[in-house]
Amino acid sequence: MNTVYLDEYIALVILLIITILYSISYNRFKSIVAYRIITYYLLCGFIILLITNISAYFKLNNLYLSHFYFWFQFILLSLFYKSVFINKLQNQIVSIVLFVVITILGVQYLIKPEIFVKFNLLEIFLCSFPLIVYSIIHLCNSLTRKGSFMYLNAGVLIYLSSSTLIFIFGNYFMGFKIPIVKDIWTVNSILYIGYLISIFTEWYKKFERDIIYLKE
Amino acid sequence: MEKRLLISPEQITSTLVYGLIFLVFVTSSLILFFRFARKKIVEKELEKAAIKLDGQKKILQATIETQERERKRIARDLHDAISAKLNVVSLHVNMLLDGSLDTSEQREALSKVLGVTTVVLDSSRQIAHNLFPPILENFGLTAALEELLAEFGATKKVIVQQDIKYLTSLTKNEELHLFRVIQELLNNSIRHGQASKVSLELMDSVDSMSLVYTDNGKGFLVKQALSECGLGLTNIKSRAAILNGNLKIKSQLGNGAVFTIAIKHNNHE
Repeated sequence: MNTVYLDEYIALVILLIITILYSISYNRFKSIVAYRIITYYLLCGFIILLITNISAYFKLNNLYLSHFYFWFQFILLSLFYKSVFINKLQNQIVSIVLFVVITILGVQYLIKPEIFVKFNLLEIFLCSFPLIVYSIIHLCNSLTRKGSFMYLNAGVLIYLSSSTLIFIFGNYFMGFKIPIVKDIWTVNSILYIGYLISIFTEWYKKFERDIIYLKE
Repeated sequence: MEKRLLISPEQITSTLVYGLIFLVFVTSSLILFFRFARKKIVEKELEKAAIKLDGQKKILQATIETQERERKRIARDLHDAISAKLNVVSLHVNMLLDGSLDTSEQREALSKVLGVTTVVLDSSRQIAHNLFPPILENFGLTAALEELLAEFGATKKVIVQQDIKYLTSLTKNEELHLFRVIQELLNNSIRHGQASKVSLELMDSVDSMSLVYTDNGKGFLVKQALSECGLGLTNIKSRAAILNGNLKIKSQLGNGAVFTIAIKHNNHE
């Protein structure tokens, strides 16, 4: 059983290390709003992943945690892109989409509260697709001027687009008790580790630049 | 088909795995594409900036050279036309102070002093006029251009045709630039082109202005002249650029030259 969850534990440890690194440098970079948001994002991500693993260890149903995961990820990353976008129109689009998505999902939960214990396909789609679009917009913006948080952005684009696909199929896989389904979740964990590495690279590049700057 | 899918989850899983690999591949290529595109764009922008900087350097160099040339000319004018003549005045006044001259000689010396002072007065007025035509400040561009063309026409070396319809659409500063451009064109026609006939047409409307200057001089090779970028031409080019004007030059050896400047007015006021 331990081998099955090994990748999850590795992801958890990496996430913990990165969260600590971001927290250590928090004071140095706290003037950058996007940096602050990412630190909170990592902290929330770590808490949710920790609870998920603990409940999985005690064989408790932890599927409802996925809703928190998608919501917090959507809200914090939307705020992140809102702070990174310089264009006023793009900023407004992020705010409007944030409001619309929260409204739609809120109404959906009010009407059908029973979906709380299942994978919510609409939620997965609405909470991931806008973020993928934002990351592409951010890439486009970086064509003409120096883009910030490019490593993290690349991670968001690759991880979110592939993990969304996995989560959308997640509902379908729930019914199967075959080993290959576990492999799919392993693939998801590997992609997540890749994503964490991109967040780490972002921190490292910032930290390195800052050190060079201090030396000069 | 649906039934077959339901009974073989492995198939769907492997499709998903391929889908995932495909997605990772596509998104990574997208990121790489943007990275390289950005690199290219930055390179091109740097190239453009370098060319612009080079042009600015040339203009700056030309400006400094022109300034130095002007200083030399003013120094020479002051020395030749004023200092040398004032020496003559001083000499004659000394002779008069000596008291050794008789009445007729005194008269002669005084008339000489008067003659020389008149010449000096004229010269100083001319020098001041060349430095900055007061008529431009007081009576505007049309009057200044008419006077300039009349001066050139008065030399009898060149026949001047003019058609000036100016609506005072330029600022005082811009008027001076345009005046200098025309002055330079006239000087070039006579000094380098040895033209016997020049014509100036200035048309002005609410949104644009056009200047067409033609001479029947020796003509020149436009490309060569532009690449050599002599002081006069650089001066005309940079002044046309300051005026937001589009300068066109047409010329052939033996067939004179045509200079056209089209200026679009910024109607922001």
